[in-house]
Amino acid sequence: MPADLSPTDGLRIVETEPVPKKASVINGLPDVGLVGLLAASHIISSMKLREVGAIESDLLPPMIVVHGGLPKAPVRIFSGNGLVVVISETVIPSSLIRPFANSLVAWASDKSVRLMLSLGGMAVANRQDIDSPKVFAALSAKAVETQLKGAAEVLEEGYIVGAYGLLLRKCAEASIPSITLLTQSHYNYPDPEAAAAALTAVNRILDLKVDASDLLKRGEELRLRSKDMMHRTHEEMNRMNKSHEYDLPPLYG
Amino acid sequence: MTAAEVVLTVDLPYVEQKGVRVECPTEDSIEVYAETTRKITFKDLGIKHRRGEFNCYHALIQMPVPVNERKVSKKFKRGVLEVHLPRLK
Repeated sequence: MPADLSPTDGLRIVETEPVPKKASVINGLPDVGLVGLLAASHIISSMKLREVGAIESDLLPPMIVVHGGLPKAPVRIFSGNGLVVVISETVIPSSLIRPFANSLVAWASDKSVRLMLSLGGMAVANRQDIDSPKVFAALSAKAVETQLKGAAEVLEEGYIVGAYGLLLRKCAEASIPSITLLTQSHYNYPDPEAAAAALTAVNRILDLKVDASDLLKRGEELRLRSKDMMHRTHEEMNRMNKSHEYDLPPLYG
Repeated sequence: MTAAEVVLTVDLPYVEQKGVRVECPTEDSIEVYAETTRKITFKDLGIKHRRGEFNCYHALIQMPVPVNERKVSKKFKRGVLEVHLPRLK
């Protein structure tokens, strides 16, 4: 990061409608198997959440998304029923991840967010042989385990590369309860089944009743429509050495 | 890729096992054809400003090392094709 940028510089969270305090925040960023993006997008459409803001930066790729004939920022915030969902329809460049995590956590602190839930994937070689992908959880603090409500197995040792890793640690520093859910999935193929498994865990943690069956019914369509997004995500994952997550766990605690 | 084999995976939405064909035109390339169960239009993919449609995937993939095309084995599960190609010594 250039020396003249402050920790959050280049990034601003713009609210077009007021975002409530003490909400739970779900992050669905492009990651392994696009699990988070697929699950979060499904939550937004099922719960008919309103678009309430965006995360803007001159350092993001110069692009917009056109949805319903209107120009939208690629990183958007939706809200409703005490829930806030952040999704990104572009891959956040690895050089921007640190300021992104810093600004999102600073905003969450300002909003007294009660829980930040990031949805990611965990690649497994034999994914084709897994009927029910398992969900693991990395926690910002031991006390957060009660908020998990048994929805996932706690990750004791390992690495988390990318935005979710930094978000988890920054939340720990800011004392914002945070859970990163990592669902067994394909590494570089969109995985709607894994997204459905993640959604089941989210429902349990946040007492929601979002129906995952549509994710499964539309599985093939989602896999086809997301393939370009997955390809770009995969390229960025390679750039940030995402494979480090699959190394043997660290030697010393 | 391991010392013994190359493993190739291909994600094939809208394809059934019987629609998949794998051939080895040379000892260091592999060709995959897969017919979809139905015709897919650009409109199905959310593209409204361009027209197009397809009903088959095709890829010609260069192998990083020579492989034994006579001992290819394949598996198709959950919409993903997995091809195992033993390496030639």
